[in-house]
Amino acid sequence: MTDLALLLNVACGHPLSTVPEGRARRLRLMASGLMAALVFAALWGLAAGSYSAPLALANLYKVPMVILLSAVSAAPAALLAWKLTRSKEDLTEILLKFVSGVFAGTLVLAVLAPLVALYYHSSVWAGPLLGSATVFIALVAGAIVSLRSAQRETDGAGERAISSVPVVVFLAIQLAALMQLIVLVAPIFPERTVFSEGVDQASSYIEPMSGSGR
Amino acid sequence: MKKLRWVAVIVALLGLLAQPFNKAHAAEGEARIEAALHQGSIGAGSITWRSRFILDAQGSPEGGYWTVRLAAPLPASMSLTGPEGVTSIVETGQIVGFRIAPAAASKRALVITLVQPLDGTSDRIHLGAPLAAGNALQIVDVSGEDGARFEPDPALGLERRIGRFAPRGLSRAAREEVELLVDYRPSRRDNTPLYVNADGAVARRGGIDGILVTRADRLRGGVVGTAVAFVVVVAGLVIARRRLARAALEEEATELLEAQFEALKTRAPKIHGSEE
Repeated sequence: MTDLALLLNVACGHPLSTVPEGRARRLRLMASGLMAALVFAALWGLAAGSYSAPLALANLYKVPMVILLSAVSAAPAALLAWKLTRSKEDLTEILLKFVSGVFAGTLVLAVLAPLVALYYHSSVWAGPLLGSATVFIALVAGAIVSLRSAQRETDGAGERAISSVPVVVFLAIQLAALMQLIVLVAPIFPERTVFSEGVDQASSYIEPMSGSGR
Repeated sequence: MKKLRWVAVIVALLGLLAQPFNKAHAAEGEARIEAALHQGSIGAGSITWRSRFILDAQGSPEGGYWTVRLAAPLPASMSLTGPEGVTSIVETGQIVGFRIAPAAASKRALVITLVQPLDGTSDRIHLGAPLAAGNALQIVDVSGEDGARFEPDPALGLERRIGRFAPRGLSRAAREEVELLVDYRPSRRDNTPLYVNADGAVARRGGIDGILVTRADRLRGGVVGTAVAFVVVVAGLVIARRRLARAALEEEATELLEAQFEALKTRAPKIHGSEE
């Protein structure tokens, strides 16, 4: 079975025991998964920026860069959480959970990319909305896949909770990094969106401005 | 020691005696300012200043006009655009204050609008905020398109804090009081207003100097770092995958051999048995 098919199986909820046990094979699987995620992300970037050629070309590296670096920056904190919670899982198992989430999320982006491109070219308002919506859908899909694989491999509520901690930490840090990496590489969409200015913009939506509260 | 005490008492008494004279001087047609807010909006080639002065409740207009003296003179090239009833006081070719008709004031608040031309050739600028003379705390908030942000010269002694620049030792209560007085709410969360007392370094240096940092300038370092990190990670990923491919093959081969040996072991007794 090819690496991508194995990863797809993991993303679909197959137990990690179906993946060959060798360390090198699992690490190769992760490397393949991340490289595939880069291609998927580039496809979506191309679609999201297809309104203008320079933006589309820039998105070919911008979107993969945001996704890869956010995942890489989240990994150390998640691995520390894994170590501190003394989870019974092997290092490769925990990494495989992270990678399967990233793989599934970007796969969602890739399959929705043609729709994003179509809407960007045929509608003034629906294109940007759909583009933003696909990001949320992909984030949710990635989170569900990672959490499901964390839940599936353990017995008992306590163990399940412990096993979920590193995945939750990974997701939280990846999201936090993602928001600010987007600020660095913006624009990804032709329009200014809620993501364009990162936490500064998002916090102004959450909390009303107050002079004394600063 | 006793002599020193006496000197201290005399100095304190002199200070007390001098206070009414100071107040009397301020009352001579000059409006005493309790607080002020100067909001500068950076546009193409200019900064539009909207300044809101809060007058001391005890003051009253002299000769039918309020007069606001500036801590540092402004260049005459700055144009006063409103409201009606406000005129610049120009001395030796510089704006040193404003004369304001009471009709232009609303209760204790005086609002004036000024336009400061920018040459645009340098990042270094001198802010034309009309800082009122005196020790009142004033807020200077400059913002522009593309998240342009002003950073004051370190020589002004303003400390960078979270979300603002302020003099060392400025209490939260004093800050909140001035915000309340001038009804200040930052227009954006990433604004970094300046809280200044115009009687210190600001007056000595003739106003506020600093640099204008655009959003692109601020992000440039991060963008380069991110791009380098991305290249490194992708290169690492490609190299790791190649090396792992070989190691994975070895693993597969070892596993296969082990399985065959296991199969041989299980088959061997049968073979031996059949021979016997």
